[in-house]
Amino acid sequence: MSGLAVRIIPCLDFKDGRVVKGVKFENLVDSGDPLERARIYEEQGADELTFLDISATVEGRKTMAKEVARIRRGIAIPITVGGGIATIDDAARLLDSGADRVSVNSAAVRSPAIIGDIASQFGVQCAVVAIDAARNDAMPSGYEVKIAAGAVPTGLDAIAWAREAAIRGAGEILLTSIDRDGTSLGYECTLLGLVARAVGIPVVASGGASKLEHFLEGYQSGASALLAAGIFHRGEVSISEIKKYLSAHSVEVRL
Amino acid sequence: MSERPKLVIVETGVANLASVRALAERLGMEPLVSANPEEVVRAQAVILPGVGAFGPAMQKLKDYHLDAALRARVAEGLPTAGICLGMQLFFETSEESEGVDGLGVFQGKVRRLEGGLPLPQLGWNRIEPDAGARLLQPGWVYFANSYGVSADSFPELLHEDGGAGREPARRGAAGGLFEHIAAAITTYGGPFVSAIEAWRDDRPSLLLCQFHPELSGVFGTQLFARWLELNGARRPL
Repeated sequence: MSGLAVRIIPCLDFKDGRVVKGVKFENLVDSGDPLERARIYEEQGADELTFLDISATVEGRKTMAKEVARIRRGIAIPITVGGGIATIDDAARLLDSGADRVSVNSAAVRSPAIIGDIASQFGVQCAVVAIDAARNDAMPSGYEVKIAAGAVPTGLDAIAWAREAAIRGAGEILLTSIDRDGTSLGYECTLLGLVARAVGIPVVASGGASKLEHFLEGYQSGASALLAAGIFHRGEVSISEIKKYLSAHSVEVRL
Repeated sequence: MSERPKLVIVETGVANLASVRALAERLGMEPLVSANPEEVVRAQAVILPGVGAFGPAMQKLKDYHLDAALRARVAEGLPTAGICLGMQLFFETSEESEGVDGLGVFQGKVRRLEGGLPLPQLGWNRIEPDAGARLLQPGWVYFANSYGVSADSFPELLHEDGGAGREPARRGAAGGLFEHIAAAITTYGGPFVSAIEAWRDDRPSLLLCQFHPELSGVFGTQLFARWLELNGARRPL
């Protein structure tokens, strides 16, 4: 018996302090001031916010930390920050700035010890492992982990990697389907189900949600939280609409 | 005369205190992060935040004589709050760090949450205060915990009438310190104690939250605003 509500999480992609959203990680479009957006989402009932920093420069990352600090003061819901975190110092800087949790992706694949380091230093709830997975029939589960924003295949099986991340101390998996990201086709539910069943920690579904029923499918596949970006930024679906829809289907949400 | 009342956030180690600081700012208090026991005793209000594990946090409190400072505040009825692990530390022991004594203000043990659900519990869940609660209200709050105070530490919570009129069975040192104690319960796999308000001199001087009021939106901010106002540590807005 769980009274826990499924979380709806808008994801804001940052480049040099501005919010952008790409389609399949390319063709980035600037769509607004981050604090303004964060406040709108909090008012709409967002349960948490995730920021992904896609800046490629040191300057961009510094701007990100400043933005996190500014947004932290302006909103009272949890913030997860990811993107480019390579060391425990990177994680510490973002946590000091006001992130409640950090997500590691490529760095965790390259040196998995960072997962345990973050968990032991800041608590398991701080350590989110982001996994970008793509269909690959050569893998035992049919899904392969890719890093560097989806550009580099790793040869790692997505389910095996999720399990290892959990064992190493991850408190949550942020699971993005590269095949679905930006397509509006809905979450990759097969992948979601496999990962959710393989680990005993919460799994956040990401990539492809565009319609109300996609969010229900994600929940039914075992996700503890449902993330989306473009549809929120473009105002196509509101968080409150999603929550009402889920509630009407007997899913526990915070209304 | 523009000096804001100080809210001391107890430093218990490597901590990410930005959210608790932001809460203090929203409440019109000046946040001061400190491991100095004198500052902790003197502060208008104190928050013991939740960071790390039970054993290391308790060790840090002892090393800096913060355990005595916190017990003194509780004994004198000075406004003191514990968040997440900061709530758990007010109990006797925890499964997370066997053999380590907590502050022991309340009798009982902190246990790993049971029920086979994903851990940590991450996200929004409801608190249901018992019938005797005057500060706590039912509502959605944000949790990030794998451990919690077992509901059998507050058996009256498990009664359908919220234990109204029933004398609490087990209170430890707190039984003699407070005139009135009420608690809230939350269900995740099974029931656990998600908050406690303890009154002395008609003030809810001690407030313990397993959830994160600083991350619980307007609900969390308003809970702490009412807590400070009832303690005379902050004027109503």
